[in-house]
Amino acid sequence: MSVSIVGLLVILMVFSLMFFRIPIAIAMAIPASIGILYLRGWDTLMSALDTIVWSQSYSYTLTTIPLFVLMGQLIYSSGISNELYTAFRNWLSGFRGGLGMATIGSSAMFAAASGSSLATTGTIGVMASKEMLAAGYSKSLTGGSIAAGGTLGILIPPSTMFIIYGMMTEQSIGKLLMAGIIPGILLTMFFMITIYVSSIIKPDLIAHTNEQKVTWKERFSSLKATIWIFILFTIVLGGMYFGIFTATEAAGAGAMGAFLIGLIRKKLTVAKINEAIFETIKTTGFIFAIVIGAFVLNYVLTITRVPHLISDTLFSTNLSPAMLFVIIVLMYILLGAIMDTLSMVVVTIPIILPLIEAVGFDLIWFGVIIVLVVEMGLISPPVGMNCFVLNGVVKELELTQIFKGSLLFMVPILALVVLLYIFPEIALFIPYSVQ
Amino acid sequence: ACGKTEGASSSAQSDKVFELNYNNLAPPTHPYTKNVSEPWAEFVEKETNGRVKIHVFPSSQLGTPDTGYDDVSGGVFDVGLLYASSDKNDILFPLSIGDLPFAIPNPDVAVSVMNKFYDKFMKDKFQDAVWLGASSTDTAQLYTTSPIETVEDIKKRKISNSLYSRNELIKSWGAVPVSSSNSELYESIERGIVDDVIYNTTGAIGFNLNEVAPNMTKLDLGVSSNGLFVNGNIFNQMPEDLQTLFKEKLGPKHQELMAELYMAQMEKSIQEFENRVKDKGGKVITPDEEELNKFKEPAKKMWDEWVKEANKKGHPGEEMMEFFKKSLEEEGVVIPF
Amino acid sequence: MNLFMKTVNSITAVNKWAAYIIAYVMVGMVFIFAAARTVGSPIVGDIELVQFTMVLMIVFSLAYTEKTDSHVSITLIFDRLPAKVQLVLLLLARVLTLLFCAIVCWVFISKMNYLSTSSLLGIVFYPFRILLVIGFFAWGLEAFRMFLLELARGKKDASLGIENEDNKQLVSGE
Ligand code: NA
Ligand code: NA
Repeated sequence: MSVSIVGLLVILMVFSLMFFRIPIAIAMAIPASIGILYLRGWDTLMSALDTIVWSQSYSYTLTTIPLFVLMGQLIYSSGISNELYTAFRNWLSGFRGGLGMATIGSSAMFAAASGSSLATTGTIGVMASKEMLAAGYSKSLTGGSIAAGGTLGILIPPSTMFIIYGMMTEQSIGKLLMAGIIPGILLTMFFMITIYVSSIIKPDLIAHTNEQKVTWKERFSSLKATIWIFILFTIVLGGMYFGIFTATEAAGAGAMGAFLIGLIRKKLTVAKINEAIFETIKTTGFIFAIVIGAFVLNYVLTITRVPHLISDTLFSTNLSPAMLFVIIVLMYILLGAIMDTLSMVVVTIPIILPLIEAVGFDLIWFGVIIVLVVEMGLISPPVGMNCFVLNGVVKELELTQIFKGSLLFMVPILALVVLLYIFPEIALFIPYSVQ
Repeated sequence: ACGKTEGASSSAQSDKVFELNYNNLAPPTHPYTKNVSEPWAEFVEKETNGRVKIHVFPSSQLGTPDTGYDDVSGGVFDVGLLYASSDKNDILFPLSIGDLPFAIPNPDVAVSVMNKFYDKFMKDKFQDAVWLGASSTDTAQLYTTSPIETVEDIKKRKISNSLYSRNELIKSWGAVPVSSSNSELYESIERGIVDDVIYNTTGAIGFNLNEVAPNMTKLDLGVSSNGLFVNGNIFNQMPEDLQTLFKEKLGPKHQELMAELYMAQMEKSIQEFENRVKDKGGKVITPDEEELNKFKEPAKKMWDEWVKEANKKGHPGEEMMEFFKKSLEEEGVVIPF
Repeated sequence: MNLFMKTVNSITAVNKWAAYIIAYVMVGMVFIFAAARTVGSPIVGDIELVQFTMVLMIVFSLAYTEKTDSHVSITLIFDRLPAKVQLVLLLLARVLTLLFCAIVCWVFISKMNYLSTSSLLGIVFYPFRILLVIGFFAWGLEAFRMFLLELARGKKDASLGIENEDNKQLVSGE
């Protein structure tokens, strides 16, 4: 049996286990281990596991994840996310679709302190859904706005997805995070425009607009919450941009900053701090498990030369870079529909990477593209984690309604992908201009 | 354990094809890949009449230098260069003598001295991996953001370093050693996280360090020595004639390619560096002997430390050092202390 | 049986609180190191110390992650399967987890090396490797405890339906 066949069989087994609810870390690790055992024997399996488990835990880069997660958790526990929403609502009230835009805006703002899309969706979801439904927004537009707004969590830095991608492709985490800034702002605007335009084309999406009048005094006083986020964002990204911090140090400063902010605002109780830390521990545990699984799988794919087989096949058909790009994006949209997005990225990157490098695409830029297609995956049926989370925290929003509303927001994401293909500078301008 | 063998058309041992995975630490476009690992793979296949096939995996796909010995002895990869000073496995420690600052000036000397050292002290040390010969990269230099002429100039500066064993030296200059990974090196200088970098000449050009650290102080700090190893299990499965071929012809060929590349590259790279920084206010500084000795002096402590460390680990430290110095002298190298 | 459950519970709890303390240490350490470097006096070996902290954080997080069922899995097809099949798959997941933990423990025990040290500070690795064994062992134990729990529940109630766990994963890689 050719070694490549073994590689393909391993992939097949990984997918089968995954779809039968085996935790994805284990679904990758077990078939990969069997593959190693078959091809190279027990000694190699032992050495490979030894090396992988040790190097991935004795890791400076991975430290970034618990620190950023803790930062987002503390900001949530400090009640800042609530106030953010109030601030955006106050400023956007009176606009057509203003409350929906406020949902997007506060999601984007919260995303600047949180590295996770699911956390962003869950956090903003509870408040936003209540207010939007009360203001007469249709359930689908409400659900779609929140789920889509939540996806900004991994595009606007910090972002655990960028960190995982950076670890797998050996790209600078700092550069990747900074590459997300402008696309993040653009996508926020695109989402807002989407709400505005759709509410004009289909007025019955917003049945009645009983948004109450807001005074200018209320507007300005509600701005206070945003200041905290600005401070954190400046420490974290400013620190990285101006060369004061590495990505890990910025995360440490951010977590410390969030902690101090919580104390200053006197909103952090011991119970809330504990909750934030326990959430962080869980996240660390499952992300580490996935990283281990991914690297074991990665090793099998490497020695079986599956990535080469695939890239040779594709290149022998004389594809142009543009066609290749279209194929890759389509593949990710398809996979994103049915797969958990984190596992999608860790399984596919080793296969896709040689292709991307051969065509000469910039790997920082491609990281942004990956995050955008992952965002689509998060809100596309049937497996859309953001929609699941929203459905979990807001029971009156049904899953089908959320998915229906989310489809609308795939359009602006896709538009940004195309825009980035034409103007890569949108992503690359900031990371390549660092001090 | 089963070696992965395939394509055996008959049961005769001599017809068996051995496929070996070569872990190449350099990227696909690196001169090392183009001039050493790939030509060597072709050479092996030709010399063995196709009985041994080498698959080269660039960009450390099969493992990083810190786990090299464990990886090759466990069969994570079958062939590759190991670096004693970077390897977390203590078994390679005696070979780290080749990395002492201001010891081995170039790859030719490395091959000759370190092979002798291996024969004398290390011959029966490795059970799970087989030694195919010593080699090295070119010598390291100091790359700086502002010109460094004297030891005084270097005080308080933050210096990044690819070889941890040099950190003591950096400290004794009054500077601060900073650890940063290779992938973050360029950025670290660019953003002022570090001021200067100690790096081997070819690598510095490869990373475009000249763009951010346009000055070079030519200290000839010494090479990074390495050794080519093959997995013991698969080696022992080979028929005797192949084993002999590996030891007598294929291993030495690898050394030869390494020395050819890095000897030539060393000269060329310094020239290339000078050309690149000429118009940008940068320069190559060669300290006179008196000044150079001031840079070298503190290294004596490290040589002594090495002996102590070796004794602590149960090796004949003094004897090893004595032999090492004698071999260096035989190559015409002047021991700085 | 009860004693076993209780023992595993307390082992996981100890792990959880150890991770809790490590979280504080990690934030403090990274912050101090960053500050020290910023003011121009970097601490030698700072990165190594952070790496060791990360090992500890991981070691102690594994069992708690299993206990709270926080490992990501895809329920798309699972949700449409009959209860009996669901039970089998749930049990299979625990068994495979247990198997993986056992292999990793075995690997780390048989490859124990008392000499390897970190390159800069010379801190020996083996205590941390022993801790990793303990971490994976605790994870395996917790998986086994969950296995027994689900088995018991499955016997009692054939129409078992595990709650959709997606909303427990507010903070994830996505
Ligand atoms: Na974010
Ligand atoms: Na999806």
